[in-house]
Amino acid sequence: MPFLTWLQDSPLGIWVAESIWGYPVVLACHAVGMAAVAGTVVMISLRILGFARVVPITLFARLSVVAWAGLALNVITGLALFTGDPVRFYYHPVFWIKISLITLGAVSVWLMVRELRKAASAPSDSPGMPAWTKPVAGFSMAFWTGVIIAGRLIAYIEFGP
Amino acid sequence: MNDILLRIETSVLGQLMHSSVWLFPMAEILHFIGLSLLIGALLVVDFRLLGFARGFPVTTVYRFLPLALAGFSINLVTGIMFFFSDPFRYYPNIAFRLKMLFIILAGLNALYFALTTNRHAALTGGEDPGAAIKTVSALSLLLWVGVIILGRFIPYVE
Repeated sequence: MPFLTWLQDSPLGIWVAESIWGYPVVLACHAVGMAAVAGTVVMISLRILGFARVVPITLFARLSVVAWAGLALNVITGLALFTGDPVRFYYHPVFWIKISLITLGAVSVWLMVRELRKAASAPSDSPGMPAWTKPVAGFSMAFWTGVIIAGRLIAYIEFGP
Repeated sequence: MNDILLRIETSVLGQLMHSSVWLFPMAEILHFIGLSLLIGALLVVDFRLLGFARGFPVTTVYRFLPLALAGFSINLVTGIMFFFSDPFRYYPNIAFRLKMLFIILAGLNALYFALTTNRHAALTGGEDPGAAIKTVSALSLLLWVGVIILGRFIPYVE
């Protein structure tokens, strides 16, 4: 694929692949972003599933900003990591499993956050979160755990083009 | 020190970590899940303490502290597994040493937090938490982010 070789030979691709600190710096940022996304999503999901009801929904509606910030950081750092070795990632089935899980995970977070914001701005005697958000919360935790597992496995499983 | 490191390397766990292809990546997956739990739970607590969410008692968010402790415990166990896999590499590694230092600092910060709980417990509504509490909260997040970054550098430095 000419596009993949073009990416590999781009200044960013060369920096990530060949400079001494390029790869570890981007990788460290990717780990921080992962903790921000996975960490807040698990807390939001647990609260929706009924854990620590004493803590108001408002906190979790605000905390969702951290999840989106982490996701944004990891889209950027993830693209940089991809650019460093595009052919390997493109032909790696686990990479595409990870991308699919991220997409599902992002949709589940969007659905939960939308309801969190509605519930946070509603009067205090309103019914709160709709029941369908509970299975979404369960699936969301599973998706993001899957993203972490897939991400680690990419580093350990080799697939030739 | 060399004797101790040698005994670690030749121990049952050391041999197991060294000989198994899948034990290390499995422990790594758990280490990443543990760090997400730790950071996520601390974010909930610190969001309240920093005043990003107010109007309810600070003590309610303490419900999330056991999750932080669970995450830390997972990472203590899996971290020991990593160390046993190659003690002669980890022990002199500068990123590893700095990471341990940051974990100790984060621990001392948490200890200070625990010893001053009566002060946070008084925070029940929309009042400003004050500079001391905000500093401890911000410091805990910054130190743990530092721990993640240093951990990721271990394979790339001497």
